[in-house]
Amino acid sequence: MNCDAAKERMSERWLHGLDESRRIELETHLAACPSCREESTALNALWQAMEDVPTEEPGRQLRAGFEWMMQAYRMGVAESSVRKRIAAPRQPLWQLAVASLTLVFGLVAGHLYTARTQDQATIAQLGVEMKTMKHLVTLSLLRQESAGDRLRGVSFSESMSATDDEVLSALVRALSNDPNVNVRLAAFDALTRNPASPSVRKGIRDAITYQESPLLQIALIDWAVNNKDRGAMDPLRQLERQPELHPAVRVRLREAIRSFQ
Amino acid sequence: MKPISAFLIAASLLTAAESNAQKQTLSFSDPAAAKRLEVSLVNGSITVKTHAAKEAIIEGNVAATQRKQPPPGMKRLDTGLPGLGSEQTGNTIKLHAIHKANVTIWVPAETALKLNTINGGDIIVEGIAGEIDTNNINGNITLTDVSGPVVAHALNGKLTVSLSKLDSGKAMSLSTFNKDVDLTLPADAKASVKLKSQNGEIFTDFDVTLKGAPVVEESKKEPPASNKNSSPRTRTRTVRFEKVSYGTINGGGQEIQLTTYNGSIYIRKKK
Repeated sequence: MNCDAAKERMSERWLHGLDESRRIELETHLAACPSCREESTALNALWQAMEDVPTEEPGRQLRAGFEWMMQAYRMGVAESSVRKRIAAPRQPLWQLAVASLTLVFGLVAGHLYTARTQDQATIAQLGVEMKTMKHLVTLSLLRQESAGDRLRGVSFSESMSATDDEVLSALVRALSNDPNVNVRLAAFDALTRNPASPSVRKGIRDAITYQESPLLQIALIDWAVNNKDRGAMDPLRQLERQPELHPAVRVRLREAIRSFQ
Repeated sequence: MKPISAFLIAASLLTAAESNAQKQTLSFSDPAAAKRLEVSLVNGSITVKTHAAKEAIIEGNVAATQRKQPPPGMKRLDTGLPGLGSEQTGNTIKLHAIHKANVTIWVPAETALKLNTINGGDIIVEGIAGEIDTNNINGNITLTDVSGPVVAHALNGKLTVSLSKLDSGKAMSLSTFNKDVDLTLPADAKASVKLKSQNGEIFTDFDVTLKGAPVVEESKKEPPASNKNSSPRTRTRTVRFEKVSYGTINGGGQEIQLTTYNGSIYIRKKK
């Protein structure tokens, strides 16, 4: 096993575990390769850390809530200080309570604030690493033998905030080569979620000429019409020349070609 | 790698053709490990059932109508064709036939299946717990009491899937072009569904929480500049409806995509 394969398998292990033989292969490689071993340790720590991350990051609402509480507290203190002129001499215990409460409150607030900035730095760091992880996991899933896994790879790619070029070209490959029509369909949906880059456009136009499934043919025709993609004209005409086209596809195709004229 | 002679099965099927179907047993090389069965037919039906035994039993029936009767005074030489070819690699058993052949296979419940046929028959699966990947061009697909993840496409037939449980973690996708997609889930199944029916409707007895309304797009085609002054009545107008809905069942969970063009979608609660 080479290092690239080992890295893929590490992500696979985190994703859905490895069977005995695949796990042993990986471990054998890790035992022999210091750099992969180091990477594996780092990944273990990362995944552990991600499990420990609080699900909600402190947001504006928390801040607002905190300010509101602080304000209410200040008002409360101001009010009590008015009364204190009469009440304080007789109730030193109350004074002590207010003082210690303020101290505790200050400590907690200070702690919360520091924790928050630290958390934010950690979260930002984890965000970057998470992105790399998703990237690896997506690419790995898209190469699995099981169609269900490849479908998961497609939906993983959809969970990435910004799909990078490598993932996009893997999706284009899936659209053109995947043996399963449902995976091709999902890959197409994922590719068209965002405005297509020139290379993705080319991949989709190419797909028009060789997709054999009517479901995909119609999805591709609709894409060309909705995006007013004049570059798709040639592939559409090529498709029209196919003698065995499904009647429903032919109807849609004629409509589409007319709409370009 | 242990190829099993296609000849043996074909020969046994030759005799089967004239009489009844003949049974053939194939063993997985490691009964404890993950098992896989792949069947690829051009013309015929595939039925897969489960049994408690560890091997696969194949009952093939090459239709007698496909065979020429020997001319008077002559007899057929058994050359091993036409029939059912099989090959075994590790724990994967593959069956294929070019001529009309209906096959029924019994396998252990946890076997993963990949089943494809084009003409002349349905694909029927009962009780399988392994992953199912299946494709039928002109027939129906009916999967009953299955519990593995399913990825299925029936181009011109109906697709009916009844799941006895839903917790595989893998994504599922069911699609047809002309007929209905009919999915039955356990009452407590947690699923996130993506539904798309271009010309049909969607029915369910689950409480499906839809995220947002279906997108309705309308685009007007402006007339060419030379016709700018023509009356609006002569304008070409294209109205398009993009019918994709996202929803959750029991709070959401496993991803399931259901797609059809001319059919309707049914999501039923298992009674």
